Parts: sequence; structure tokens; C-alpha cells
Amino acid sequence: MHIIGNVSIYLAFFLSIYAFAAYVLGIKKQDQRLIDSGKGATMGIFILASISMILMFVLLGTSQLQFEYVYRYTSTDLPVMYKLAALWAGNAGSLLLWTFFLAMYSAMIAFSRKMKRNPMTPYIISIMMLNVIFFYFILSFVTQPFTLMDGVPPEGRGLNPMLQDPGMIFHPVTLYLGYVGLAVPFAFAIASLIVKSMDAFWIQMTRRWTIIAWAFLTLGNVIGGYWAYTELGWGGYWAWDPVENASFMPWLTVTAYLHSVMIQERKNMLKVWNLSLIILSYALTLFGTFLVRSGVLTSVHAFGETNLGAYFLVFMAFMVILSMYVLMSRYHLIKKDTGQFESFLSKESSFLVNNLILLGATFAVFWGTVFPLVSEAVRGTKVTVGVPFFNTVMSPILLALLFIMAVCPLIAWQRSSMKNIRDNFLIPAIISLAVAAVLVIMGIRDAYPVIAFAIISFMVLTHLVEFIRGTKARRKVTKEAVPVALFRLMIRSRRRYGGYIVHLGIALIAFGIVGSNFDVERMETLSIGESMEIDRYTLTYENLGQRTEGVNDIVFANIAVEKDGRELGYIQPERIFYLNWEEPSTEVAVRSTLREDLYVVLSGWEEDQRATFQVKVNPLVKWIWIGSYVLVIGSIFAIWGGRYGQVTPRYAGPERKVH
Amino acid sequence: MHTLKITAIIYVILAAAFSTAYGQEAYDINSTEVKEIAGYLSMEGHSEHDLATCSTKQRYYEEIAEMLNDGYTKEEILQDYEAMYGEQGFREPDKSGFSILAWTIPFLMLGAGSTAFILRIKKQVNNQRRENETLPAERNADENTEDEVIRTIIEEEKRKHF
Repeated sequence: MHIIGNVSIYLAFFLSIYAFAAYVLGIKKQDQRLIDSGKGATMGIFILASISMILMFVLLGTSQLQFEYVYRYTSTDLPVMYKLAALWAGNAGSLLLWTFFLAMYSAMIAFSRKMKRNPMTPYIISIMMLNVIFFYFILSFVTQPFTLMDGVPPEGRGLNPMLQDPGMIFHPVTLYLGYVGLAVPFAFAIASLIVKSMDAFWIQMTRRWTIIAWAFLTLGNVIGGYWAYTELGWGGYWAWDPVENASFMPWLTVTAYLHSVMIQERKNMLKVWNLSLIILSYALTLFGTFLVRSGVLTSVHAFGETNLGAYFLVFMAFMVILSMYVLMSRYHLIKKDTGQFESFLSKESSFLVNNLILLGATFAVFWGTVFPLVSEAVRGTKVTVGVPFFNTVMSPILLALLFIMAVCPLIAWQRSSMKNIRDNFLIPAIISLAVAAVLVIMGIRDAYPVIAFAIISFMVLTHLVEFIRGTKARRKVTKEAVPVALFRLMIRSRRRYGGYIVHLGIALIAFGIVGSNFDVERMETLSIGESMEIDRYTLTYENLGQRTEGVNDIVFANIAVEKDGRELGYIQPERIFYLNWEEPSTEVAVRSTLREDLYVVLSGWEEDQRATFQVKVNPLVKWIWIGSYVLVIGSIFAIWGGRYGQVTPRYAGPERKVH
Repeated sequence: MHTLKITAIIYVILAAAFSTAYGQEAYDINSTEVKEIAGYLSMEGHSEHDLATCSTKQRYYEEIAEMLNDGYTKEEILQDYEAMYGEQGFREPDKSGFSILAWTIPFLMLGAGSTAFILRIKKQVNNQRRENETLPAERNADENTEDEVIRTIIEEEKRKHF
């Protein structure tokens, strides 16, 4: 089997070099046969990548411990679901998954119906192929997935217990789909520059790709946040860890890009800006991978320290220099016929402010992440840049962003008048100020939460106003019933209203994040029958028990929960002891409501059954997850096909003999 | 004089007993003051770990509670840790010296970006204003939600009929 595995990797590596060469030669000689051969090779690479993946799943699922990868990340007693998920637990496997997605996307573009007979296609796939070559080079010569051990060990090392969580199944896959997805608009952008097609064709063609990649990136981050929240030792749902930051940075730049492309499509503005944003987003995905796999920064989420980071850094530098060269060489063409701003007060300029803030946020995250390295390089002291730094720096920036999100939808395109501003914002502003006043009366004295809740209310209200205005305008003409008018309004402008739903999701997430800062925490040691009080809860420790699940031993505590004297039932925090792992893992017991989460951890116990518990009450956390669902629904709504607004864009750039 | 001495001794003993009886129980790992001080410390890289399972973090919390019970103030405790670990003992960089760059650079960049943005728009707006003076009045009209909805309906109707 290892021969099949290795052959599938090496063959795909050579095939990717061949495909790239065939495309370049085909373009140079304008020979369609070479291009077709390259397309065949692209499909071949996808088939080989699929074979590698299937083979690796079979090896993991059937515990073929003679393979080093299987030995290092699984054990025979591991549930089959986690045996399979171990494919992306290590460097070699996760890079194989990444390569598979790249090969899949390349094949999808090569044989896309919409890109049939399009002269940009060979350029796009050759750029994708550069990525494929790099990843297959790594899989062939740096970290090989199908390496055999000298003998067959009796048992594998097992999977780190922290990774034995449903989050392990979805988080890496969604994040990689997001990362790899960004290679597609990047390839389209560079291809359009090379063929000198300076219109918005590449943007329109990649609109769905980018939204899907962004949605997966969001989903990956949110699932990761939920996993970190329930997994002890990862610092809660967001700890500004370098690896978390690495996936947040491209998310911010892609969010900026998704907004600014609307200006290019509509007003033919910001062409260089959009190209730069997509290059930056793509480069940040590689930079993130460099951070995760190089060990240059300390992180609980990182893969072990390897030399892989250096390869990613070199590749990132190569791709950035290449794209900047192409961009600069076409600069004079891009600047031709570029639209101009007509007013400070317009949707265009508010979108640009939004971009500015998003890029400022990206830079602040980047700077905070690399500052320990900068400090160490300049003066030999590696300082810690932790949560308090990011909270201080990012809070005003993100609040400004929320404010712009509130204002943007109601500002008219081209030029907005003061009357327009007053009509649209007066009522939401008054209600938001009333919300702030109520919060102060309720006893909240910190400025940030009061301002944050007021801005969030403002944002929700301005969006509701936008839905109401649209429905009213439609009803004025069509005389439809309100629900019908609202429904038709939304499905006829899916992108616009999908975007608004996404905004509402962000508002709910922000509501949850701000609320969760009012958490309370206690740690106490209790004897059986003793109680502790926290916030409005009374927790009574009833007994300590033990049970066996498979080969694992589980110690659990039964705790009766009361709130304001009302019995709410029991919760059961646990500690799991694994046969093949030294350290036990701690399973948190969470009782989640819309108002707050009761979060209980079994910290330790004595022979006399006294046990220590850490108990937290985290307000409004559930809204973070609800907001995330809303956000994903909004993304799906925006890209969903249908009769309206999903017309294939027409290519109007220079023609070539090959396609 | 003798009575005064005895009174003073009794006072000192009572004061010591009082501080022992109440002072030592005043602070424990659940105290707000302990959590606040601990919030500043990197705790040898364990600051983001969970108190429930991280023995290093627990040791720090207990140490801080003990120092508070011994009568140290928040500032004294933080100074003590600074003397021991320097800037690396904290969760955020100093707001002085080289580390001030960590705090200021993001806002300087944002400021520079905003200035560039304002200058660019100002230039373009002025250019457009000159050009628009020659255009008909409706060219400058607002293009708001109502207009867009009506345009969408017209397009919809067109599609139906043609």
C-alpha cells in the first residue's frame, strides 16, 4: 500500500510540473493541444490526490501501524471517527488535505462550464498549478505521509485527547476550505492582469468563490472558538493566540475585499485596491500556515516545531513578489477609466472607511502577533503580547467598524444629502441613546460596554429600517402584502439582503462577546453535600463516581443546580483517563441558556472525596453561536442560485487562440 | 508610665491578633483583587491556561492572595513581579521605551491611512465637482434604496414581457 501511496504523491508532483509547463508552453505557442493536455493532467492530479486521501483514510481506519503517520496519531482503541479525523492531526496529513482541496478546485476551474472557451482559463490554472507544485514538493520531499516504520509497533501513540472532539472533524476542514478557496480569486486576479483584462469580470466570476471561502473561514473560526470554549486549556472561545490571529487576519482582509469589490462592480473604482486586497488575503493564508508550522511563536494550537515554516515563507515571498510585479507592470492600464469619488458622504466613501478600519484591524493583529519577535530581534527581550493588549488596541477599532456597519447601508450611492442622513438615522440614533441610558441606569458604569451595546442596537435598527424602507417602496408599486413584498424584495436582491443578514449575525456575535466580559468565576473545594454560591446559582456537590467507556476511565461529579431557589437538575463535569495518553483530559459541564452559561470544571479530588470545582457564569455567550448561524444563513442566502441576479458575467477582455 | 506601656503592649497584641484573624482570611484565590492583579501577569506563559487545571496559575493566585494578606498593595506586588521577571512577567508590553511602539504603531498606521484616504477623496471630489457643474441636475441625485427597489421592479417587468 505504501507503494501506491508514494506513487500517487510523486506522480502527482511530476504531473503538476508537466501541467504547468504545458499551460505555459500552450499559452506561448498558442497551441490548444498543449492546453488540453494540461487540463488532462489537472484532472489526473485530482484523481491522484483523491487516491492518496482515500488510501490514507483506509490506513487510518484500519490501524495500519506500520505507517509512521498512523502510528504517531492513532491507536487501535480510538473511535473510528477520530481515527479518520487524525488525517489532519499532523503536518503531512493536513497538507495532504490542503493539496486535495487545491487539486479539486483546479479541476473544477479547468472543466467549469462557465469558463469554457475563456482565454483566461489556462492562466488561472497555471497559477493554481504553482500552488499545487509547491504542496506536492512538500509532500514528496519534506513531510511524507506514507513513510513506513522499521517494524510494526504493537500499539500507536494515540490522538491527543484535546483533539478528540467533534470540533476536530469540522474545524480544520472548514478552515482549509476557506484558505484554499482564497487561492481561486487570487488566481483569477493575477490571470486577469496577465491577459490585460481590466474590467470587473474576474470579480464577478469569483464572487461566489470568495463568499464561499469567506463563509468557510468564518465557520472554521467559529467552530474553533466553540471547541476552545469547551476544551480546557485553550483560553476560552478567543484568546488572541498567534494561531487564532493567523486565521483572523485573512478573514478581515477578505471581509474588506467583499465590500470594496461592490464599488468596482458598480462604479469602476478601487481596481488596484481590490487586486492588492486579494493578493494580501492570499499571502496571509500562507503567512498563517508559516506561523502554525514553524514554531517561531508559542501557541497551544500550533503543530510541533518543524522546518516547514521556512518553505512556506519562501513560497509566500515568491508569490507576493510575482504578483506585485504583475500588478505594477499593468498599473498604467488599471488606472485608465477608473471611476472617481464624488462626495465625502456616499456609500463608496463609507465602504472605503470600512476597508480602512478592517485593514487597520488586520495590521493591529499582525503587529501584536509579531511584536514579540520584533522586540527579541531589536533588544533581545521577548515580551508577551497577550489578551489585555489586543483587547485594548482592538476594542476601539472594532467598535468603529460596527459603527460603520450601522451607517453604510443607509447612505446613498454617489452622493448622500444631509436630509437623507437625518431621515434615516434619527430614530435609530434616539433609540440607541435610550438603550445606553437604560444600561447606565441599570448600573453599568464602564464606558466600553455601554458604547458597544448602544452601537450594536444602532446597527440592528438601521438594518431593520433598511428592510422596512425596501418593503414599503416595493409595496408602493406592486401593492403586495407585507410578507410577500419583503420576501420578493429579498430574493430579488439576494446579495444585498444576504449581506444585511450577515451584518445582523455580526451584531449578535458582538452582543455575545461584549456580554461575556461580565463573567464571574469561583473556585472552591467542597465535601459531599456541601454547596457553593455563584451569581444567582447554588451548586450542591452530591457525589463522585467512576465509569468506564471503552478503554478509558471516567471520573465524574454529580452536582445539583439551583437558580434563585428553583431546581434546574444536575450537571456532570468529568475527567477522562486514557489508556494511551499520560495526561487526563477535563470535560467541562456547560448549562447554556440565552441569558448565560453555567460552566463547571472538575479540577481535582481527594481520597476523602472532597473535590475542587471551578465554576463560571458567562453571560450571553450563546448569542455568539446564534450569531454565527445567522451569518452562515446570510452567506448562503447571498450566493444561492435562482432566477434573479445570478447571470454569468460576459468576458470582454482580449481574445486568445487558446482557452 | 507602666500602665501606658501595658496598654501599648495589649494594643499591639490585639492589633496583631486582629490582622491574623481577619487579614489572612480576607483574600483568597476567589478575591476580586487577586484576580485583578493576576490579570496583569503572564505567569511564565500560563496566563491563558485554566485555573482549574493549571498548577502554575494556581500557585500564582495563591502567592498573590498571600502577599495581599501580608499587607502588600497592588502596586507593591506588581513591582515585586517586575523586579523578578522584568517586562516578560506581564501579559502586555510596557507603555514606555521600545515597547511603546507596540501600542502606538497600529494607531499611527490607521492615522496615516485615514489621512491618505481624506486627501485622495478630497482631490477626487474637487475634480468631480468641477466636472459636474456642466452636467444636468438629475446626474447628482441621490441613489437610495427606494430608487434601487423601483429599478429592480422595472427590470423584473421587462424580463417578464420581453
